[in-house]
Amino acid sequence: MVTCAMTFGGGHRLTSASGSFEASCVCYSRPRGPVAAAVAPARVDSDTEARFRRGEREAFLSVYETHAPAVRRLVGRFFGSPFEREEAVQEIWLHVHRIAATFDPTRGDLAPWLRVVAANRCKELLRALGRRPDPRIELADVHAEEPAGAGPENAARTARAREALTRFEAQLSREDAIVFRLSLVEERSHDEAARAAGISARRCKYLRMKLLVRAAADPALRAALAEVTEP
Amino acid sequence: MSLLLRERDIERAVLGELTPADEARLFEHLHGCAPCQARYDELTKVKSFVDGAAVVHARARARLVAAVDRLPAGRGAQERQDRSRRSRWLPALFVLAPAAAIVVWLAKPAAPPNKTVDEVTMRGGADPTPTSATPTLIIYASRKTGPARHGPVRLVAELPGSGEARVSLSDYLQLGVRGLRAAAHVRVAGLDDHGSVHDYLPDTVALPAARTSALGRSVELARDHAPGTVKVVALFSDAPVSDGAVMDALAGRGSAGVVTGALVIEP
Repeated sequence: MVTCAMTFGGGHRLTSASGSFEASCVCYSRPRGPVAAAVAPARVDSDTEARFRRGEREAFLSVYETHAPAVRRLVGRFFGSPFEREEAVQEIWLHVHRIAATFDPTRGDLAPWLRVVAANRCKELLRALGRRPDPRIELADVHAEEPAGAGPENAARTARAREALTRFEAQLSREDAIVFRLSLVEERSHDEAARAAGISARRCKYLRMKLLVRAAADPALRAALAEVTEP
Repeated sequence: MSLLLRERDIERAVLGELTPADEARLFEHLHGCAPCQARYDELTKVKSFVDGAAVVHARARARLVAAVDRLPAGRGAQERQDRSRRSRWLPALFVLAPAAAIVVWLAKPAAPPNKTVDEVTMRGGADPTPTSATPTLIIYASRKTGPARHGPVRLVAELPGSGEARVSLSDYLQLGVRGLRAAAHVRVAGLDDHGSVHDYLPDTVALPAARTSALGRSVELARDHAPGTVKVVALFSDAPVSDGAVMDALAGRGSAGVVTGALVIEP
């Protein structure tokens, strides 16, 4: 008897599961689909996993460093708003920290466990906000094989946004362009960007903020970014 | 705070220049302010696109580290130990509690009906009171929607009236009591499908009040529950409620002063 409630819908045949234990093994060890792919095959060693289960801070942070990008990509499928995404990611990792002791390595790897915890938490957060998870998430899970944002359509959208960004940078004065590139894009220090632009660090800090606002107000860049699904 | 200052805060947050305390305050504001949230999203989208989300990721990590550092050390391990400790003693409790109850019953002199440990004496001692005046255990539930935010609070059960409460594993429960006529000791516990006993409310003195009084701290179901049914008992007494009385109530004995119901926890 298979009693496994599939966390993500779709086309995966459970062949040999009897009882809830095996069913749940099958459920979070399922290897395929973009949601599976969204969690990278990165692994932490078994010692770190054991310390993670015991609630050790450093082990938890090590797990976070390893799996955060994948969890972030997964959360991006549920929440379009960057703010909501950030809040959901925080909530998920705090939840993972709380329930770390419930992870059982004999039932599957850490990555699929994190995937299920993250997806379920996202659904709960959406329900709590009075919204329903996008049904396309399940459809994509069946048909696509690559992480969100890696398809040819999104690659084309990203390329358009890059072009818009290049055009925006071309409009800037030399001073603004240097600050934009070094401070906003490459995240170099104010001093470094200021030295390169021949201005004070204070002015660099001011320009950095102004350029961000100006970029957000640029109609072509706005339109191009609106099409990009994943930052 | 003026709109201009708020706008400045949003810009600084997106650039990763706000202090953690200011950032926490801003995020709290963003939860309830759609225009500010839209502005934050707009700027974050641009910044994340140009820097590969470096600032967003660094900020998220810093927030998480700060949040984890605020938690008690080794919390996960502690929960695990607590659970295994409960499990270890559970079989013994089931053997010892009935034996203890029998011994108490045999040794006890004939006591007036209202003076046993688990009777409802808060109604006013031996005063006869109508059965409708039975105190009611109120269970509220709320779901967490963010690190420091909860969804709307729902009234999920009034025991014994509603019999059972349907809640989700991600809910937080808050207990309350109504209908007390005098100060009383209250204790609430649960027994789940797996045989684990949950002490939801340690012995607490509740005072009579016109409105429902909240009791104890909220219960985070995700911490040590699993989907399934939990038998819930609330014991009301004029004396501190002992562990034996709780075990008797969970085993279905000693119904005086005990309010019984069930929590159906859904995944």
